Amino acid sequence: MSVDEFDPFIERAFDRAPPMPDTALFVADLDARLQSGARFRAVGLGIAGAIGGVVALREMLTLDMDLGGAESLPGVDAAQAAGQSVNLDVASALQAALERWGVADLAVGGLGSMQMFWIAAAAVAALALAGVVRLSQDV
Amino acid sequence: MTQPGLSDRHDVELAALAAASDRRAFGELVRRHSSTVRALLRRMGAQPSLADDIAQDAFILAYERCTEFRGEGTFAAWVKRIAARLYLKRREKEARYVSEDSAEDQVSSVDPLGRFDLDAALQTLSEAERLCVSLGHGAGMTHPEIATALNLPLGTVKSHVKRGLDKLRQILNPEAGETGRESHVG
Repeated sequence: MSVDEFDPFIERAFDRAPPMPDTALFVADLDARLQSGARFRAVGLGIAGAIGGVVALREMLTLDMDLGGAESLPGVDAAQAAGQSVNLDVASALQAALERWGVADLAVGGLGSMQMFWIAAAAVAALALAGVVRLSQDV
Repeated sequence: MTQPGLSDRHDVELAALAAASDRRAFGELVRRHSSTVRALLRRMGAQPSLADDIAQDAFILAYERCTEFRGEGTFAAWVKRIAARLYLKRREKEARYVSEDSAEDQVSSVDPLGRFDLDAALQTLSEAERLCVSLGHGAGMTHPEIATALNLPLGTVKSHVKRGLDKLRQILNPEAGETGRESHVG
């Protein structure tokens, strides 16, 4: 067998793998890992969505609901008051959570919507960057 | 993970389905190629359990990056390259460098029916030769890619590949001599 024939011969030999008796188990294990990964991703996206939703809600509720006239429309004042109340509730809930985690010095109620948005965006960007770095290290 | 009709589809079609998060299609790809990937890792010198772990990691990475597979080469070759790189990364982490240790004792690499047993033949190569031949001819990496991956000079990689192939050729055709460049067997 010449060199020219030998190289492809060896490559074909590498491609011919002995059948593994536990292939079904290997596939099942892999599927389970993929499934748990997908679940983890779904939970992560869900949490991110919830945070985004809270920020969006906060943004909506802090809008100046003055619709342009001196006369306020019926129900607008009530809605505005309710919105401010919910807004305060969210802020105080967050503040309570921060106190529980020992980072109460960070006054969430004092942060504006845009500040909250940029903090959340920076956190997401940092997470994405960490993921990319990790992935590039793996391969 | 089986689905009627998937077994008839081409790898490229299955990869496209997998890129759209079809895990069943990907399962079919795994079923088709896992033995080859696992065998390559074992031939590179990984213990069976480690080879299986790395093969799983390689397939998971392949699933996540399925959109990058364009079908220029075969799917199996693509995953084998991923697996080979993951194995080298693992070796690097465990500070296992390529050693020039001598090969194991000569074992029979041709079975009673005269068929060439690659696994047995690879055991006769040194670790460096086995790695270089496996990466080049098993994972389809070029010599410069192997040199980079193993952090070895290109000339050294070429020597390892040549010596390894010479040994394999000699096992297949003992009368061929050391280089066997002009030899032919039936």
